[in-house]
Amino acid sequence: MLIQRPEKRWETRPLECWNKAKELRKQFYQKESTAKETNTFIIGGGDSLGMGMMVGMPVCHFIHPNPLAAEMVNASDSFPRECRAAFEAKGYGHDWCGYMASYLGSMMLNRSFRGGEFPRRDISVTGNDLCNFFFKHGQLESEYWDIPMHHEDSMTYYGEPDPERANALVECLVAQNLDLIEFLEKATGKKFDDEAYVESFKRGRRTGVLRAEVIETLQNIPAPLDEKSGYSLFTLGGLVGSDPEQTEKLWEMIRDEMRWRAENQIAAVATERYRFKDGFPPPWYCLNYYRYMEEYGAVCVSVNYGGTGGLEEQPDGSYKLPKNPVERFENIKTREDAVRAQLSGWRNFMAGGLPNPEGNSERLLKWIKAFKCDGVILQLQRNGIGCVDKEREETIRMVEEGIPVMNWETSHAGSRTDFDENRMFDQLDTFMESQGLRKLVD
Amino acid sequence: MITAGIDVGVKTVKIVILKNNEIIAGGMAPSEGFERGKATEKLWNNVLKQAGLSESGVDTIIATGTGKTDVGFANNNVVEVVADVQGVLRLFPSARTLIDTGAEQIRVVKFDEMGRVINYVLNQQCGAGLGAFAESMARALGVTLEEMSRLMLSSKSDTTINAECGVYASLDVVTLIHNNTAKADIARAILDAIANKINSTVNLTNIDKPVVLIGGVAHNEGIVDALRRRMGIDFLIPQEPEMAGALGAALIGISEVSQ
Repeated sequence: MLIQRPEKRWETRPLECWNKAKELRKQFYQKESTAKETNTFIIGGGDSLGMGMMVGMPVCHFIHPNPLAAEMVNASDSFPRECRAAFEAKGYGHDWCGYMASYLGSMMLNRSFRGGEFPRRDISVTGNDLCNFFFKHGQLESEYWDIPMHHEDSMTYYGEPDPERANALVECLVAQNLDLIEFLEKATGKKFDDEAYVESFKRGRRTGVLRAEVIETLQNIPAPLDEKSGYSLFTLGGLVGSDPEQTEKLWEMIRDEMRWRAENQIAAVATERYRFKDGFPPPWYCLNYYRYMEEYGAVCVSVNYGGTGGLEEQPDGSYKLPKNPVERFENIKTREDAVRAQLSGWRNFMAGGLPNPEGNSERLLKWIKAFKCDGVILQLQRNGIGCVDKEREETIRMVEEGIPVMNWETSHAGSRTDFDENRMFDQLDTFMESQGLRKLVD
Repeated sequence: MITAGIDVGVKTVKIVILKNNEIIAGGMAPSEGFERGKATEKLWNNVLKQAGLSESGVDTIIATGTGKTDVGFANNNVVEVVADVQGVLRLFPSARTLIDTGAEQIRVVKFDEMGRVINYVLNQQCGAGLGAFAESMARALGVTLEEMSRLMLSSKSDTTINAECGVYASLDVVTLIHNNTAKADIARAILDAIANKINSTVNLTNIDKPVVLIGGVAHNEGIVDALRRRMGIDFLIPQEPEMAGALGAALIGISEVSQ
């Protein structure tokens, strides 16, 4: 391998927030393992209100199949293969999303990757999602356990941005989530705590702002946080819905730490000399991809997957928080208003935002400039979350703009039956070496 | 100065030795699957003999290709895209794009006059349109690759098969055989599908002319003809199109030693 020597070394140090983040994550999983003793209802799937629903109905604990399957595939190579085989033996095709094949296969085998039986679900809920496999999983899960099911419609469309239509879709989603609350009240026999929910919604907004402030610091050279470490943090308050108060405190800690690191030039990657943007994370069991890129002094500073985190473009091309991002939600008092405000986050998506390749390419170009990226890596996903809805168009646009871009094909949700890790690393070598960069060796 | 370039592909190993920038020896042999390390060593000894050299007489050895890390005696390795560009520029200094179609990968690379890569695209995991696929389809028809190419030229049919996925393409061929489609028409459909796949990979980026075809598939007249019809380009094809990567690696060796 041709090599180069690092020209500059930034100071770096471990994240102080790391252990606290691990603790919060552990709390979330403990709730699942003690569900029987605490008479908690295990809800298979996910809803659109996320942590808010769990605060309003603390008797419910949602287990989304995606992170569970990701964890399963990360923990073992052979077990997810067994799960997929069991699932396909029931007649489902190999083109099914790896998340669902792993999750449903584990259910059909009645074995948990953590040992013991697959924990029974009490209710199945499928919230607003683009993925048809996710929707189908709700049906299969509810039939398998013979449990009540609530199913939301998928709220999106492809086409020109259409605010009127987006508002109508948001209202439809609001109505379905108000219906979901009543459905869960009936299914569990417990009342939804409106006051706690409204408070948690406001706290969620504040947490969201803190997250955006962290993303803002990634525009700094050197980046104070790399994307791989960021993934462990960014699920906190989202898919990992631990105690909201502690989650907010943790995000304050992360924000303060990142600002301090940015001000003091403390780098996530000591040899940072190349910054790239990622379209999507690799399969979760292959996060060492980011470590591999670090051998070239390359750091991932931004991923489409996480969106812009609520940041807005400034006249100078940088991204900053809008003014008063929290205050406008402080007057919200009722369940319906909070649900509407929470779900309004989908409006841009529904207005043709996400599935609009042209708009996305423009946004990507601005984002690359603001985050001072040298190149882009765009994954072509085969089924599963974030399937290819715009990456080809974005790739061609990047080529037109002279921005180095690499595509690689994978199944993000894969069960390790459909991903060639060595081939991918080979492609990373090609991407970096074709730009004249070599692995760094002291 | 004496340098060597070794290109270890999925199907074949190619070696070029340069002395003072001129080719003095070269050769190609099957890479023998799991035994490609041994196959490479055997060919290396043959080429050294041909050049009248011992290994210690070679200043540097640069490996490239899928099996580049299998060459234990190489001093260094380089990715195929970079080696290909150097090799092609040496053969055709005016070239600005290369299409390398080997046993399992298509590489389309646009570059400048200095050999800097401007952009490139690789086909992804699906193996359709590649040399290995062409060989397996020829076996399914019970002919050699060369015979399949000749057969194709006698067909006037516009039968098509799936061009994007090797598995689906194979299923399509089985269907055509079951439907008693003429062998020549199936051959044409297969080679057209391969050309379509190469063309669709090219369409994922922008290219400049002149365009050079390298890799083993460039030997196949049927595919080149189909590709020419689709893309409307008169390609430049070296006499030994599969040797460009090894040549490029040997040229990179010169700049490595000079540094």
